[in-house]
Amino acid sequence: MLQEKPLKKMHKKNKKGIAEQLVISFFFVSIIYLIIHVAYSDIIYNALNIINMVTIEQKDITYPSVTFDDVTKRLIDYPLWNTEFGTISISSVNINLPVYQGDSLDILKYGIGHFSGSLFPGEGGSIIFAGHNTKSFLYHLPEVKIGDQIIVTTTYGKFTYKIYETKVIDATDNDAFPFYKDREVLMIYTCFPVNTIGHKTHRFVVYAEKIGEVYEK
Amino acid sequence: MKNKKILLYYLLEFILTILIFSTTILLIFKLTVLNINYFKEKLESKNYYHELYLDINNDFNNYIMQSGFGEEIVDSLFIEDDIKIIINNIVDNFYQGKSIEINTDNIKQRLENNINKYLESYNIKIDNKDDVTLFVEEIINIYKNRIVLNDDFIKLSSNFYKVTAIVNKILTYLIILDIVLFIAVKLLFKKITLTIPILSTVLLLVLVYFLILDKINIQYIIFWNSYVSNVIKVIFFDLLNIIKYIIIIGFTLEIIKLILIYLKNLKSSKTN
Repeated sequence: MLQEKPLKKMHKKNKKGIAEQLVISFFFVSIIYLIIHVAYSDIIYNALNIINMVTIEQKDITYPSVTFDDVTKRLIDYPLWNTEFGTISISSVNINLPVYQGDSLDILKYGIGHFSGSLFPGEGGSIIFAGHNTKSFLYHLPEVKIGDQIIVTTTYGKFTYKIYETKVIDATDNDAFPFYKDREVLMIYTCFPVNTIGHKTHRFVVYAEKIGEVYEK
Repeated sequence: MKNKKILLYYLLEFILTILIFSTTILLIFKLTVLNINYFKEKLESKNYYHELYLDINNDFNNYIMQSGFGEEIVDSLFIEDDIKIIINNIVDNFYQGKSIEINTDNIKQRLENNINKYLESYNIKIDNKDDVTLFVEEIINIYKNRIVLNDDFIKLSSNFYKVTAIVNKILTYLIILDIVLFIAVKLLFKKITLTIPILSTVLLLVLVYFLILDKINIQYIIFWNSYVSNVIKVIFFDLLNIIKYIIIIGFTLEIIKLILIYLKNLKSSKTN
């Protein structure tokens, strides 16, 4: 009984000591947090923003099929990168190939690529297609004649174009692909010459204007 | 006078807290991002060399399609081990602040031999030799660009070395200061417990841990390509894990220490 009192006192003292250390620790943390927040918050948040710029959440999205808005003359739900959305046919030179969204070299292995910076068939402007010059792709493109027809069949409609010009351009000549807003022009190109070996410094470009369209209902 | 002494004691403990926290953060960086062996180990564990090897070959094949050459033209230009040696050299030079250069003489020689063999076997005559020269240059460029990712990374090398050197210096000073301050407080006040600085450091690390978890979607980082992203992601996850382990160890040690002090005081009061 006599010993219980100092024991209780000791318990209290111990608890007080632990609590004191915890409170002081929290106090220190709060002060350091405040100092960092005031002095370095800009740097920290800029760094976090830079990291988040390269943080892209990938969700499994199931896109509906590509459709066309008759009023705005624009596509609703554009085709996904690296997906096939149509075919191109130039019967005069026996070309009949699938068309993919995007024109990276990885995509061009499988067919004709649609330059994503250009418009789509039916949208009333410049459309740019590219393809390899091998025998399975556009080897025979330079044999086309003015007046030949190109038919692009997509999941939302069929479009007919008439070739009005062909040109050999330097590979770096971007001016050869003008951006039209008031007329629908299909420009399709391949590396040139097709029958030589080595690096191709030129491109063969075909220009064709739309002469017909049929939309899928 | 006594109050002033207490105030000075806690002020020194506060400074010690800042020093221990800074030391811990820099030590984490020194053991991970700034550690050349750690970085090489991550490249190896995430299959970086193999993925890069496949990527370069894929790019070669993509480019060859328009050239009129067959795919055999790039056969045996290099093997996966060549890539590993080159990347390790680049990493060594990067961490040592040396200039980074990629020797492409061998690959160029092999490519030219392959081209000659190809032309001979298919009996092809070249009209314009410049086209072949440009083709070889382009293949070499693809190879170089895939390996160094971007010229800016090469420029970063000297800056990275400077940062590493500065961090090493600061870390040394911090460790010395930690010890000096610890001894000074002990001599001045005849007592010091590291409980408050360690507990505060652990609590700050908890804040850092949750800040990273909350603000960065590590699993969704996409930088350059999939295999570069994988290396960055694993480094971030490692940083988080190290912080987590320090928090667990710090808390456990402090709890054990507090229990021991509690029991010791209890025992001494009982004997009295």
